[in-house]
Amino acid sequence: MTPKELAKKVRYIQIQTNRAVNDVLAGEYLSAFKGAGMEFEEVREYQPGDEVRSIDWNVTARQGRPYVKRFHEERELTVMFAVDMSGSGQFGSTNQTKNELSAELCALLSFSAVKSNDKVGMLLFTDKIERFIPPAKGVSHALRLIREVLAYQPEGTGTDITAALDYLGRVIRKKCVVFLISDFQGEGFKKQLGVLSKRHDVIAVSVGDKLELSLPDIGLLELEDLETGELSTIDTGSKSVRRAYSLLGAERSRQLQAMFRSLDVDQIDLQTGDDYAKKLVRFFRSRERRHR
Amino acid sequence: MLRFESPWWFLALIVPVCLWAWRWWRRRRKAGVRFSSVSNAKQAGRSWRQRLQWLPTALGDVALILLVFCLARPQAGNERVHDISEGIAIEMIVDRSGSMGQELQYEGKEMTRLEVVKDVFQRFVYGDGKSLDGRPNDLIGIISFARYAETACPLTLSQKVLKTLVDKIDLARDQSEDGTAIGEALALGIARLHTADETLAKQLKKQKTDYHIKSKVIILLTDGENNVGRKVESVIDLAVKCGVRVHVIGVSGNGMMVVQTPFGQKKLPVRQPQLDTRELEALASKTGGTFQMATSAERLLEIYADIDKMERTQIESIRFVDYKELFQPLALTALGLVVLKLLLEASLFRRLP
Repeated sequence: MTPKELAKKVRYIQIQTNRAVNDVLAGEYLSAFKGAGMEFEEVREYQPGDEVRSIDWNVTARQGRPYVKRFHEERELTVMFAVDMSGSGQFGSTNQTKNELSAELCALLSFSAVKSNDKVGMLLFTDKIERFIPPAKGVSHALRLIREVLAYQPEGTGTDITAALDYLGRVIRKKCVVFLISDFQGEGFKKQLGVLSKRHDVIAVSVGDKLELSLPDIGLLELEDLETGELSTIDTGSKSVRRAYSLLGAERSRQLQAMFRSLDVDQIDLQTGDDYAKKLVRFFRSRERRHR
Repeated sequence: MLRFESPWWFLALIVPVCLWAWRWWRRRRKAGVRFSSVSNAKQAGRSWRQRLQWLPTALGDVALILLVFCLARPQAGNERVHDISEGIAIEMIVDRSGSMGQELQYEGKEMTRLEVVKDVFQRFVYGDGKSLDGRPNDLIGIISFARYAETACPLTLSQKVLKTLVDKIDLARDQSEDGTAIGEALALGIARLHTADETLAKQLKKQKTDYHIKSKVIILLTDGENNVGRKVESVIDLAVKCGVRVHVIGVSGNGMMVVQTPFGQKKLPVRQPQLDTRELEALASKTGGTFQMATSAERLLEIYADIDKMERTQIESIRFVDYKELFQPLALTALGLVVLKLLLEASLFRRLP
């Protein structure tokens, strides 16, 4: 991707996500992630329309006129994106690959975060840590994140979620919201995920493709593993093979779900070609309800 | 008889071999649909189609090999026709007296002289591909003798019958039959050769082939002295008059003889029967033939090879061999295989990408 193309793409994503950020997700994001609490701001004279409940009786008694206490929400949230850049992300059966979906998701969420004056940071990983961008505020920083996630050429191809989670746990000290965006093809990261989710608010975003769950009948199909380069032939013309394949796919996502549930980690299931903004809204709403 | 007209084309077999090597070398570099993970695909099981997916490739390879075989022009020669215009009349006179039962080492086996002679004789007629080329164009007859001479096979061009007739020659077992009537046998042989032209004319009447006897030869094989009937000297003149060359082969050598006794078979050393070499030599030299002594089976074979060389007609007969080209079924099979391969690849074994 040339820089020009990249700039164009970033701009495109910015415009694309603009509506979602301002309309669809507008309030949802804000209310889904609450700040640490309420902070006292000022005491001012009562004006008609102010809530009676907020009248500060001590000051009112002292002054002889009604005063109200004003608070503002303390909101110094940090949002981290841990994005899996492994080879398997280069697959996509629709008009976007899994990595593109991850990038757009990151863009949407970081714009939302920026709008709410939150800090955003990013960790790109494959079978090793590829790039860490410390959290910061501002639109330009968000744009940088998007450029990074779109243009980054990973050195590794495999997936090592464990290492990424370990690294994240060591690097960020303050409690933050972690979006772990991956297709979760690695194994054995349950312990690290548990540790991280104790301290941080971890949301697992699993990025999949519908072909990973079922294959159409197209006869013999030669598949090449994007992570290992291994070749394998599958006979999609056989009903039993197709059934076994979709059973395996369903079993895998069921196991993932069970694991996330057991760790009390929120999960968003996304597939390439999905309207992810809608899914995010639904997720934020359900989260708001749960955390109220 | 199957043969390949242009066997050099088999060098083209290097093409499929190279193809295999190339395929082996490229086996990890096939094109595949890039997919996020193949682990599920690997675990999903193999269908019969997947197990047979090598089939179209194999069909193509077999077709290729068949085509190479086609290029080598396989031919079946079914009939050999000789241009028999000229030949030699050879009368083989074989001693079958009791003393021919002596054992000789022959190709690692113990065989009686007569058996050895019979074998060598067959090689002489049909050829063994080594020292003897066979005599397909010659008139050949056999006379065997002990006490009496008898025609085992009249002079004939159809040599297929010779073998069975030669096999029938047996040792003289009976005392009343035993003896060595060289003179009688020679006389009979000369008589046969004398009338050879007539016999031949009779044989060939139907075929209307123009055959003409170039020379007449007797090959006399004996291991004893003439002791019955006509004297040898008396036939020399006859032979000379009839223009018959007599090659004489004397068989000698100390041997053991198997004798049937009440206690089973016994080998007894045999006193060498006398061979009247002087008389036989005179016979050979006067008729223009040769006299040679065979002391072993190998020597006997050599002598026959010598005679074979000596008694060659100068004009090589032309051979017509009908060769039938066999490439057609092969080529059609190859075509069928290729078509089948293409059909299978396009339908049942269609693969992506």
